[in-house]
Amino acid sequence: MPIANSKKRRGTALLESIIAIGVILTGVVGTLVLLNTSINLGRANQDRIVAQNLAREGLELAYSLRNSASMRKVDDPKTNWYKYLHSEVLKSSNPESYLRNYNLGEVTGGVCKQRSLIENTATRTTENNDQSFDGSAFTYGPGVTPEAALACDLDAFVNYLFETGWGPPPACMGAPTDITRGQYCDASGAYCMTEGPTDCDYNGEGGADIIDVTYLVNQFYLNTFQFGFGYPTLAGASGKVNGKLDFYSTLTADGTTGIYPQDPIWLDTRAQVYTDNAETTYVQNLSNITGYKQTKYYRVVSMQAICRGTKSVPTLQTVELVIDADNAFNCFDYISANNGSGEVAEDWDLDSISHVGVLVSSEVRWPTPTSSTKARYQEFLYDWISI
Amino acid sequence: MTGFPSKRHTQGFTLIEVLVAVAVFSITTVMAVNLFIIFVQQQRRTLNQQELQNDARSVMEQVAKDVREGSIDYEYYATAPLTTQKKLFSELSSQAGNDDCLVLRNAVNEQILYRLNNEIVERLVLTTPVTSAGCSSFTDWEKISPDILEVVNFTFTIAPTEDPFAAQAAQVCGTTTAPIIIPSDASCRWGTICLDPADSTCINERGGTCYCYPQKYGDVAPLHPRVTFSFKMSRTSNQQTISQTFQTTVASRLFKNLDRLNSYVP
Repeated sequence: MPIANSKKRRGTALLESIIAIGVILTGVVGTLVLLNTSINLGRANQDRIVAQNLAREGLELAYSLRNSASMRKVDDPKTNWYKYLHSEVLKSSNPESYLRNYNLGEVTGGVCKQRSLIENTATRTTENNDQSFDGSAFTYGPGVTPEAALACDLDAFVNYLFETGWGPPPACMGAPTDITRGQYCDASGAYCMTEGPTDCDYNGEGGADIIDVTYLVNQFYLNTFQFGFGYPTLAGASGKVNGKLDFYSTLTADGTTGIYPQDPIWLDTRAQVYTDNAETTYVQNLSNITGYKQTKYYRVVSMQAICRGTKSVPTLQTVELVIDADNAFNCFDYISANNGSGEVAEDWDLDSISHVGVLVSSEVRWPTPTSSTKARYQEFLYDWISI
Repeated sequence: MTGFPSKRHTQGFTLIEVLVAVAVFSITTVMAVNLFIIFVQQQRRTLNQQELQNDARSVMEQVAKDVREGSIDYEYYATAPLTTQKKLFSELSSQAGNDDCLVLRNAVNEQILYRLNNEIVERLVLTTPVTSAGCSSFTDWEKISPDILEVVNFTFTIAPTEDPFAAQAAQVCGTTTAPIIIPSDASCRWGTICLDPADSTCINERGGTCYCYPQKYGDVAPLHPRVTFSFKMSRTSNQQTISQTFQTTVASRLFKNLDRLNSYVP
């Protein structure tokens, strides 16, 4: 009978033990790493959600700037929109013009003489108020002729054209030949208009019609847009203003102006996001950070100009360009300086250049034990009408 | 037959061997089970987090939509009965009867109110705006956050703090014959001047009197209304509670300075 030889009972060799322990350790360590990674990833997910929210919020800054720009005049940001509206668009020198109504033109002897919105300059009373803009019934009183009350009343004009048969047409529409459509009479019937000018042909195509209302309203919008959508003054130096908000204003690589480093932006304390002690509100750029605590997040929002224009060679076509972030924010300056070379390879027609939008990038970075992670949003934002 | 296995082979394991084997096996099993549990927990946590995010996003979108399509109800905040605690920067209290609300006004002049009530966000639409009473006096609020979501905190900040669209009465700043007063910041604030620097005449003149328009923007420059709001929300599922702060800023897309015309667009 075979007996197990002594060799078989000798136990494990050192090498075998090391291998066995090695295998076991690899398994154990692998498992622990897996565990650790899983927990870290879970945590990282939460960080990422916060970062993405902050990045998303950064985009809204550009919306806010764009919308706020509608409240100042493009070529003179210090002019307030209300003054501009009344003194330039509505052609009023009356400091209280915001209390007043506007006619489609100026009435002289029942004739609608001008094709723009003219303030009703008489002191506003219930008698003479022509109610151009508030839709209520017109009235007139001593010293105000029915023509003046009726003529060029925007409300009456719109009503006449869109709701034919409802209400009297304004004097500038001419005398009504069709009596059933509404005679120009006052409430007592004592005064009826028999004739009137035909001067509501705002687009000059030979008669007053529905297109004239649209034309007039569009004209108003056109004028108003001169006031709209300028861009805010972005900080910078040496004429190299770009859209990187004001983070560049103090930081330079070598302490001099003109060289703007990319990376130190992330070291700028203004890029850091803070939170209040209850951890309910995230804030950035606090001048006084007492009572707030640092978070791990840094946020930078940048804007690049989107320019549009035409080129005539070889054929007339539209061209669009997003200016590089480190270059100028002004479309005309940049394209006219670089036309035909580099990024502006196409030969643009210089008088066609317009600044139609901004490319907004909002980036949030935060350090992790091993690296830096980021969440980034980009959005093309149009209706940015300015030079 | 060649015979039975040797006696040695039928001996079985020694106690030590069994102990070691069981110990190794137990450790491995415990670790595996533990790992499994942690993974499952982690997965549930992720699921819970996702649900939390979904719910939070839904609530935030609702508020954001109202801000975007409307504007701040500055009238409500300007009218402050003594009994109310209306604020433009506010942490909404969860207590009943509190007057801290986020009050918006939409394009058709309806008032939209948000409040926090017992950890639930509630919304109310008033077709006839009320500015003389605090929001605690209204009833029929609609819940917009699910019951499972605990909204621990709801704060908002409105900027600018004064209505940028408010028409300001013009201020007298001298006459065309008398020396023109350059308005102080108090009478005509940022952005307004009395005298045209180009030709030293009045910017706005009527009947020999010069006028300037004060601006009450409350900030350095004219700003379109915007609201920053944040929610601290927590959600409990499978005995796991996740708490997170969600914040966003929304600028109003309503251009009220064109309002007079807007209502006449054909």
